[in-house]
Amino acid sequence: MGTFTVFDHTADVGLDVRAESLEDLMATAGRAMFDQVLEDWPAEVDSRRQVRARPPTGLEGDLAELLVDWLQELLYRFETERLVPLEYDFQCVGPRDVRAEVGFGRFDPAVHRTRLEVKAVTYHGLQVRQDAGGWSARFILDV
Amino acid sequence: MADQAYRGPLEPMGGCRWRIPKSYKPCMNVDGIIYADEKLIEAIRHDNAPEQVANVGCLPGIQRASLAMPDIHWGYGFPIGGVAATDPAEGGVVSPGGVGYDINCGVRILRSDLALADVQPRLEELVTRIFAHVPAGVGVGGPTKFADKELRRILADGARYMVAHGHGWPEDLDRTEAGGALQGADPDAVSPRAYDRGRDQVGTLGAGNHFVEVQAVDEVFDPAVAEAFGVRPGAVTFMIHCGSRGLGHQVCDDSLKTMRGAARRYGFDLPDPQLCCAPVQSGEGQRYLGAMRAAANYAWANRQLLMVLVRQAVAKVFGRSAEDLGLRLIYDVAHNIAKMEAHDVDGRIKNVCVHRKGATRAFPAGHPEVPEVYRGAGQPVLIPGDMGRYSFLLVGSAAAMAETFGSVCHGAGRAMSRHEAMRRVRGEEVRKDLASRGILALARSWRGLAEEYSGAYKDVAEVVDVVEKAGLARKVCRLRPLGVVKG
Repeated sequence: MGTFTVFDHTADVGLDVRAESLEDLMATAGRAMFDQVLEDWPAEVDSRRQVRARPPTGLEGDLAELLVDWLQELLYRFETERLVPLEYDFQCVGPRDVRAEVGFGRFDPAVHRTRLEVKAVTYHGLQVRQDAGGWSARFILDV
Repeated sequence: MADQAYRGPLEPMGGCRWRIPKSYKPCMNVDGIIYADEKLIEAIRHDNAPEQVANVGCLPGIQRASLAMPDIHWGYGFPIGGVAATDPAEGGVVSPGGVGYDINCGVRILRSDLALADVQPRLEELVTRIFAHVPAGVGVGGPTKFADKELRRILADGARYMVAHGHGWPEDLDRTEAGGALQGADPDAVSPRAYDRGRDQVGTLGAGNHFVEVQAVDEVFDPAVAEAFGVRPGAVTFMIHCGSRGLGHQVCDDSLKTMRGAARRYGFDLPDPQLCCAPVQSGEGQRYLGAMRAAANYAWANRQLLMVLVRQAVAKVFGRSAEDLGLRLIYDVAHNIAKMEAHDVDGRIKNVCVHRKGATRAFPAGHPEVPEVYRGAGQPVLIPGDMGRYSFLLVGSAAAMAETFGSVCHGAGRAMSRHEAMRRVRGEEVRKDLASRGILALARSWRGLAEEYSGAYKDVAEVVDVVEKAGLARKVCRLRPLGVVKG
């Protein structure tokens, strides 16, 4: 299980994520983002959905772009169906796409306390790197 | 990055103006000009926002100067508090970063015949009623879920759709920038995902720095203009700050994907990829403008419905109709938008694309886009401060037309990060502190309240003083918060 820390940013929220594998990096980044959104998490998986993320045309192979698209996919499901990712079963995490079956819990605004509303995952200072210790990512959420 | 202090040139021009000469960077087409006094410019230097002012000066077709207001702080590509006008006839571009994620985030303010003495004994009931009636907070949907067909009409007609369907009064539209709907909106340019995100969010406040505030006029600087705006000392007002919600965020996301490719195809030499853009007259530019206008119209529909909900809540508490309570809209302004406007540039009238990223339109008396009811006074300019101190109502001036394409600041600007605010205060403490000063704050999230505490913001009085000293707008009155509703 990867780790994450919040870094200072004037108006928004910056996140540094570390993980052993690319799969773990994607899962931890998702957890880090929703940790900014939620005070209370849904207790159990309510449904399982296939989620696929791809960098935009012309930027295929860019892992940082892949990470943004992945987080945007999760954010879209939260905003439209109030689904919170709890479990990840990755089928593929490559430079061209991420494919995973995600176990979602259902958010209920009457039950779960919240923290911040994430408007978007931004491109500023966006990084995904691999080093001897594993993988790291840095991104800023517009809130 | 924002944490690097700016070390480039900042030449004092006098009159609260500082220049970044275009010689600073080879790509700059115009100078940068920052409006600030000695105190604010020191704070601005510590942020890297002046570098972004210089970078915006590199946009193709930019006119006059890359401008920054005294509430400037670091943003994504463009600084927040930035103004840039480009001329399509000279290859001028439109840039989604010059509008931001929350397209047509803006402010509206309602006046009332209620006096402070009417409201204070019933403040708790009033704020609690507004809090219960206005959908606020993360994941909280609006009073109506709109089908795609209706959403398309909202995207085309904005607040006009709402009024046509009984949500508000026809005069509300006269008192809204652009009449509550930009022409040229293209609902087909809005992605299905944006429709999905916007379906149940019309009439929702969301979270973050958005709010509904009950205020009292505690100081009047220009009695004649205050009279024209329908406010007097001690009168109670209601301010709403919100934008285009998830629909607008998605439109920005979608356009950034397209525009990054476009900027490369057009061979633009941009110092920051987040300034990605396309010529206004290109297919990419027109498509973005069509989608951006649609999102802006959604935002006006959203604020219109939020206002109707506030009117209903206030009417319920006082047992009188909104009409009887004089709950009339003073004005609604956008502060994240790009608009085609006619401006005099070096003695020639040009139709330019004015980007206001955290900046408010401030047109002077006599301008045809100022509503007839205010044409003798000038456009009301709404500058929210923070929930512990005050906000301001200003009026536009001719100097702003001559220098800043009729634009001024949009608020106080943050003085510290959200994380730092969280380290310093807790939400419960913030609520108690506000209560000790007679301000009742209700929020869905304690963390949200802590992050928005007064000390996290610059003093908006210092910001509007610079605007006034620079001659860009005049102060009309100051508004003190009595009650705050947040997500």
